[in-house]
Amino acid sequence: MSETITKSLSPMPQERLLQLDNVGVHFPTRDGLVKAVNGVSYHVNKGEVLGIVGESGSGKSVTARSIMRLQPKYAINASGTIRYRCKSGEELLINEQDRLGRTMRNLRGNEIGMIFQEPMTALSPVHTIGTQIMRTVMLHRNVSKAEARARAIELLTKVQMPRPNDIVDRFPHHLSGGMRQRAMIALALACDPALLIADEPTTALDVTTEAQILELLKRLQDEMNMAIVFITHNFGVVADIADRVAVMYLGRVVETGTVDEIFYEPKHPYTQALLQSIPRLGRSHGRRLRTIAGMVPDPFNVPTGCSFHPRCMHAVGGICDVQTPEDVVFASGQRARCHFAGQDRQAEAAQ
Amino acid sequence: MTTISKTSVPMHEDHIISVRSARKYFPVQEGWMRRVKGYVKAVDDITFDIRKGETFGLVGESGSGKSSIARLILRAYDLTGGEILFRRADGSVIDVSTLSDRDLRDIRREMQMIFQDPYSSLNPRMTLLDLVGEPLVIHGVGSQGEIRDRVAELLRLVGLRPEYLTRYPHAFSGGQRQRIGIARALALNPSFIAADEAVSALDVSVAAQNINLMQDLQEKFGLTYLFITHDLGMVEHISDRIGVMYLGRLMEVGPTDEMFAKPLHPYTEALLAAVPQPDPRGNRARKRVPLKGEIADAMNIPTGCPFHPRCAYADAKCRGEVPELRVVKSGRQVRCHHAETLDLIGVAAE
Amino acid sequence: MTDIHTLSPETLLSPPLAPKEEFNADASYTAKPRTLIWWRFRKHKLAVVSLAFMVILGLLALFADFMSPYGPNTINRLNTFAPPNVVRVIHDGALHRPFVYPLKRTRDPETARVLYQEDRTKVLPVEFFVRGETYALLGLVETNLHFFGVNDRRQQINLLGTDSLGRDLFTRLLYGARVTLSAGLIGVAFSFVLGLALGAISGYYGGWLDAMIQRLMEFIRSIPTIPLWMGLAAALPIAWDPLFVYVLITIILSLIGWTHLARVVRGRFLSLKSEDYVLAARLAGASEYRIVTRHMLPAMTSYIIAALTLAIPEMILGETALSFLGLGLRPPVVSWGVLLQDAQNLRTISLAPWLLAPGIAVVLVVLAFNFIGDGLRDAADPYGQ
Repeated sequence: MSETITKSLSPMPQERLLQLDNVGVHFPTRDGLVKAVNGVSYHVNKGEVLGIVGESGSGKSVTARSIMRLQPKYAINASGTIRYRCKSGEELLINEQDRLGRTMRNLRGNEIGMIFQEPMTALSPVHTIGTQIMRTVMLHRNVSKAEARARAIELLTKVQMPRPNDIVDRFPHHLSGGMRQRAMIALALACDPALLIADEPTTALDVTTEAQILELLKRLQDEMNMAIVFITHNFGVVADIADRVAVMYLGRVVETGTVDEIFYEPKHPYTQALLQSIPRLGRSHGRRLRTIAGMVPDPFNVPTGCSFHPRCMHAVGGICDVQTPEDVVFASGQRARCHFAGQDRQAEAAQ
Repeated sequence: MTTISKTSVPMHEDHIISVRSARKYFPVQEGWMRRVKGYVKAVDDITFDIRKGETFGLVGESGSGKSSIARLILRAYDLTGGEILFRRADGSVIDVSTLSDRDLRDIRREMQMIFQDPYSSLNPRMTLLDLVGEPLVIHGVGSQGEIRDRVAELLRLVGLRPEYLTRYPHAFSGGQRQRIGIARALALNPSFIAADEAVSALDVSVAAQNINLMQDLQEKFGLTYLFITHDLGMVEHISDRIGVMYLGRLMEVGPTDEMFAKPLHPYTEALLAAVPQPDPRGNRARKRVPLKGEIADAMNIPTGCPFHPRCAYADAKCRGEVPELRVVKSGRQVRCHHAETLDLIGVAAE
Repeated sequence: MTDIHTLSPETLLSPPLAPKEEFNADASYTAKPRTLIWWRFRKHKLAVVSLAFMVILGLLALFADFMSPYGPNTINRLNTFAPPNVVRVIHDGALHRPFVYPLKRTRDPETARVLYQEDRTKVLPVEFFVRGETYALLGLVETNLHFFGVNDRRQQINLLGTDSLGRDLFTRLLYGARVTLSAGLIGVAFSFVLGLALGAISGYYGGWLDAMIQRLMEFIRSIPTIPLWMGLAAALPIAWDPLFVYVLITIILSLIGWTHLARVVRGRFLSLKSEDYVLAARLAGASEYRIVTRHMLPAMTSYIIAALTLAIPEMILGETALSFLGLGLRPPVVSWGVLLQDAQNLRTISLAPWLLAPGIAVVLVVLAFNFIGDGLRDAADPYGQ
């Protein structure tokens, strides 16, 4: 039923937009080397939404930033390859590009857009929304100022900004939180990117605004046939927006699969336990929450073997604490990085 | 001790807290002379009761004034108007808002708070012994040795090793720090604890641990909780009754099950619909219509019903007339003109 | 589908491979805040070196009368503008105990200028614990013991040369350090009291009081310092006791210097007031006194010490500048600023460049205090990232 994957650099399938293989990002710190990302592999196909969920310290944001080569200068790209299929169709090895070079600058904005949790990190406080979008458009496209302005207003309309003709001349601090988020999305979409990386874009928002932004992203993704890498710690948000999901824990992807597989047939004990620890509307009133024992270990002392073993209810001594598990691949394409994924013992225990 | 004013309706036997027409206005100042140019009505005409031994949940978006309520009850802020009654352990009722500083100190033994940020709510320069023991020292409870024993016992109670007494907070993770905060709140055996976004800053798995701990402690000591959060799943899980706040006002109060199964206020309905569920098939099945617009500026609250600009059911009456919080036939309270005629959708219980 | 309805007590069991909760006795977990600050400060190498330098200089200044070979005002008419002696260990190609070559005084026949030449035939060994002029050690013990010197009636050892009156510059530099450093410390102490009080009132009470103090601070900071100093110093009667003048000068300096410190204290108070743990203490029933002394001040001390350290060089520069301009301390008081007055004209400097030594000392001390202050500031909050 399952097989371990082989790592090779065979050409990406035609529908593949982005592929990460065994990516490792380490940070030297005063207290030692932090392996923030430790062998992450995932891929995104054209026009699909990949949700990446994980708790703090899982390395989900660091991985996404390394796609854009936006990590801090002292970060060490320890291993792996990041490949991207450009609009022209050719494959690009992102991890071999100069982080400040021409190719990367063209990639950012023109091919890949990025939005953040805090819009003010992406928007300049001293320029109007319109100016910022126009600059991006004019940088990547050969258009006149008037055309760029028309494009800015078009984009603001597209992200359902109220009164786009007025907002285009406003500064970011004039806008509310949700409107800033929309402005940032408009900026990221300025050149019709094929891929949008969304790093916790709704975490700081209220639930009603979050719902608006999620609806907007879903609609834009559909209209523009754009792929999205959506990073969040919120399982509800992932269930709402993602086509496929990658669950991360301590710098590794522990499970990937379609959104239905992850939510209804999770194979990794971590995914199973996490899903059970979330209170659900209309279901959990008065009942005890399931918990995961212990805490997320600090990044300096990542457990040996399967890094989840000290907190896992199904861990087996001599195996889980010694051997690092490989991905177990199921017929449907679902993958779980667990020694016992799909085996009876674990299925039994999960009951 | 202050007795309640003659005009007050006596407090119900079962109630431990009674917030009555509470108002808190913050002045907005301008210029170097600090001229007051207006007021932010953080809390406006709020009335609700908390029953002894229950968990009362308070939900709302940022800027709804839910945190201000906790701080008013605990008298971290002074009320602008209204009264807040508290039933002490000996059965006597006092108005927290008019207590003198001395009486207030006494009352602090019976009501405590758990904070949102586990990092800023513990003084990093104090050991666990000093932190958890501080309330005991302040109220002169016991000798040094007794305080030490009591702190060790409190730590054990929240699942921390008593050997940690001499450690400083930086030795602990966010979840553990939150437990230290809980131990500190419990030090003087309070009867009422306000938890302000107590688990919002924690990771999912750790939040669940702490929620379970809080429920265990409630059972063990008969505590009453005011649980403030923006997380509807969490508030449903822990609360017996819930109040929904919007722009400084209570929109709806009622038992959790009834409210979530069938909300009476359009805002409650919209909130419930907005929460993304960890259930992809369910999400696809239910047609979500996101609420339009955003929460209004607290300086310029809309006329009439504060929610009317975003409400799908608003009519002329809503735009012109401020609805009162009123009791409808089922005994639930709602601040909406059309509560009886609307048929709103909640979340289906399974 | 995993069933979330089965939430039973078995979920409380610990996982099979959960580590036996070992008692990790990491020293940093129980280390006192000041230990953590020290650990962090230690990583700032330049600050540690500067601290050592200042400790040594401080001790030298404190025991200036013992450490220096002569008295600060001892005039030697036959030894004016003598160049610095070089302490050597090799004589005639052979290792020798530390010594200096005596100087032979001659006169240039054309310009009638006094010239000094080393007499390489004679050896003047540097002796330790020699008898010399009588002084009172720390103002208490009458003694004539000096740390080093030479046993010779005619010859002197002048490590940094002598001035126009033949006074030993090394000796005067040490005595000057006493005055200059203490002027810095006393001035900072005054501004500390002013700054802490006004900053605390400003930050703690806020409101119109805060606004008033803020405007006052801005007003003081907007006054150009040199003219203000000159005006104030000119107001001091010349006949007053030099020591009294010295105290007044430091007060004048601190009247301007306190604003910076007040700003730091106010900022800390403001940020601490909104800190959750201060509210937590208040909700625990803590008195205002307890909140300020137990929660707010301990969180501020390290910042205050850092700010004070950074304020000392300003004081020292102020004193030096005033005295150099002849508006501050006046002879016979010996301070670095006073010593630098001798280096005011070009001719003297070209003839006796060693008279600039106090200037170098000022630069070194100011740098050292700045490095220490930087190190302290970085270490002040050992809990931040």
